[in-house]
Amino acid sequence: MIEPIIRVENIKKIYDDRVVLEIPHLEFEKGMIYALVGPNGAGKTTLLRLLNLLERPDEGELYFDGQQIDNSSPAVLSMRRQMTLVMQNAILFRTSVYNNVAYGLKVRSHDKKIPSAVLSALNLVGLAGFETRKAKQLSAGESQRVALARALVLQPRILLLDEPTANVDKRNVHVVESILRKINAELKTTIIFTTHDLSQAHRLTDKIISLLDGNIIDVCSENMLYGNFERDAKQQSFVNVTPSVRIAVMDYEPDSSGIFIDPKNVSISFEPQNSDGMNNLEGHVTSVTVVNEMIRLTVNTGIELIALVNPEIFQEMAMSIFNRSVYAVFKASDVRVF
Amino acid sequence: MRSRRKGCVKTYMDYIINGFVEAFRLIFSLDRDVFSAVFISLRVSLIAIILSAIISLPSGFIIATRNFTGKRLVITILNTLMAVPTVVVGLLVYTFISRRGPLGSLNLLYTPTAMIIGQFILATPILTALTISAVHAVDERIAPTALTLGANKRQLAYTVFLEVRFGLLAAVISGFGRIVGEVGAAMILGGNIRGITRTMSTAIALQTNMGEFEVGIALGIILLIVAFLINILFHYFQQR
Amino acid sequence: MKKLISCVFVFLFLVSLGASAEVRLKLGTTTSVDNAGLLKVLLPPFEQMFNVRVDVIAVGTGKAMELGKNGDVDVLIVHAKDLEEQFVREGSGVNRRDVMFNDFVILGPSSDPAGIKGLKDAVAAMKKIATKKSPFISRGDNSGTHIREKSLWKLAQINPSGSWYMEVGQGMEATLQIAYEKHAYTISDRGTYLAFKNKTDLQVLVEGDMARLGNPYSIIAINPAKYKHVNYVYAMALVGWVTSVEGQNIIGNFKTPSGEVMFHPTVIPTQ
Repeated sequence: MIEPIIRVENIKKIYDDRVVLEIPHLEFEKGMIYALVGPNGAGKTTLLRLLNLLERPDEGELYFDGQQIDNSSPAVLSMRRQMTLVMQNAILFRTSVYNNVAYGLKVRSHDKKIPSAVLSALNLVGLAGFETRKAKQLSAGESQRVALARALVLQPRILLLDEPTANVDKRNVHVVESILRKINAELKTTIIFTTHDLSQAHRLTDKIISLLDGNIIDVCSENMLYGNFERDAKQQSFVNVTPSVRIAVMDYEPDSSGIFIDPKNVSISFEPQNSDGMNNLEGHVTSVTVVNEMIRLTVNTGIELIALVNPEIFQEMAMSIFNRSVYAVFKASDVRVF
Repeated sequence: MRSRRKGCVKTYMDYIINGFVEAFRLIFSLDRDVFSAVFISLRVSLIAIILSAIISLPSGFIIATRNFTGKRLVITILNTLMAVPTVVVGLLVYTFISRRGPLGSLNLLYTPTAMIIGQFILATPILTALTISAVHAVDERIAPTALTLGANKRQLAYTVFLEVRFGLLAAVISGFGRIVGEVGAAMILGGNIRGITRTMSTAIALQTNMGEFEVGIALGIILLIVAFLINILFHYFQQR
Repeated sequence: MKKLISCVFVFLFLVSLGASAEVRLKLGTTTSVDNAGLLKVLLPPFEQMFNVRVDVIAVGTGKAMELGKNGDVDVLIVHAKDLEEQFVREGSGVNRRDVMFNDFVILGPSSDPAGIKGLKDAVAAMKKIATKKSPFISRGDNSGTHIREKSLWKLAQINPSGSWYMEVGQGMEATLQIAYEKHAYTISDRGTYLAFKNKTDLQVLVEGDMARLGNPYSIIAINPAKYKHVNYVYAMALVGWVTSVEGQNIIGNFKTPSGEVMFHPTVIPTQ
């Protein structure tokens, strides 16, 4: 098996006696694009900083190309120089745009490359001609793009970004996204970024990692849906995923954007269970696989849902399952809102 | 000859106006005594501030960027030292370098070197404290940004230095302003020897009452100009 | 009400009578005379006898002469022979009288690098100092001592300049202090030197050349013809007092704490 470019084992990070991040195991593969999603305070930025070796975990280890590295290793500088982080609200140095973009190359003593690399990086982010401008005089959106150029010019193996398009003007959002796609395709850059924009995450990534209260709650994008939330006359909360698919949830926030349901909590039955707080979505089973001795069913109910069921339960239903409609059943209390 | 019969006010006004007229004449004719005092003031204070900067800026940098027990105490002590009156510093150095003191055999008293020592001691707390505050004022994102772009420790320090360079310049200018016009230490340590340790401030202090009013005014005008220039420069660099 | 106002006027009149009963005499003199403390014993008997208040204005010799020239004082006691003669010649002062004298001494470190110790000729001593370029501290403040020093240089036909010749622009005590610190030569009036003796290790190297180092004090009344408002009558009374037997005795008996005579009376020398 190919060694993942980054591997995280038993990481714990504690601030003021509070565990802000706890991840038993996480892997990132070379050349893939990952999105870290989750509400504010979930630990996304903390994880990025740990991956960038800016901070040490209080427990656990990080492996880069199979080699364990932390802040005190002699190898930390050379590892750090293979990756870079573009922060949200990135700060530029008190000098020209040119010098900002050239900074990473300067500290690596790659002086000869600088002029052409800087110009092409600025071109890439749509800021050609900005070389001589004073960094402190730029708008927030322009500054963020300069920070991106500053990172791109290094052609890092791993590119980390914290909310890469949050502070960029709308018309430049697609510029940034296409840059990320481009460098991933051409240079095989491994990209890990955080975002609030779930549709962006779906657009760009190979994998979405969701964090909640410092824990990873899902390593795949299964059963993650978005839609509009509302309450009915009886003050019960719902999310409208499509015009025909309406899912009952326990509660939601004004800024909630989507839901997720753990496949383990989704069961299949031939009859609906019409009790309070129960969701029943009618559909057809479209695929069956075996995963870790559990049966993984894909059910098309207008939207695709994954259910993970016990082999025994499956055996009872087995033959009929493809011929008739089934219900994907799950409690409203098992629906996670984010 | 002034007649007592004229009104008192007119006599005093004549005295003051004549003083200014004479003073400008001294300045524009590049009077030797006046400009000797100017050059000595500037030379002594420039040497003192450069020596102080060599010690203070790195020290301030180190104090600001490291965390150690007693850091807050050190900063408090520095801020207190900034308020020491110039005569007290003069007295302190005097007790060491007079012939009766432990360093008397060096014959430092009443030389420009003694004044430089005094002004060095006056400037160092200011420069160090202002350096610390300039470094603290650097955005806390600068260091992680430099690190993530691949800077090693030395490169990081240089980057932070570049970020504060105008703040440091403002600090040096501010320190220079404090010492160039001071008279307490310069008088006690210099002796006001004409052509050797007679600065603008000691000349004004000790000669105005000798009746050399015009020289005093001329020097006062120049000292004011120097003080204004320093202030303008300080604010210019602080804004950058 | 009218009675009250008239009472107030009577009261004020009486007060003004009392005030005008005290005559004031403005005496311009030098700081060295004032600092010596002589005037504190010399003036009170005079004030009592003539029912007059003497206001002592003590400044540098140059300034004192200026006050006289402007008519800002009524009488001067100074010690600057050339300036005094000029002063009288130009008609600013009248009735100049000798009062007392002391002397200047040339001081220096015991190592005496210029080798002037014991010389009887002050001008020769100054020549040697200049030739050797030994450090010399000058008061540089146009005081009586400074004027004397300049006249000695003139007699020696030397224009002192260079890093060995240091003008400090300060009083005698400060000048002695600097001479001590710098192991340098200087000229001082004997009185200040004696008062300051145990604070420095400066030695008296040249003394007794009364023609060059003698320091005579005179009293001069400001010319009433020139300045109509000066208090000429009482100025002359003071001239009479300081040159009288009692006045001269007081001067002759005025001693330092260590028992040395500070001013030798000229008119009636002490026996």
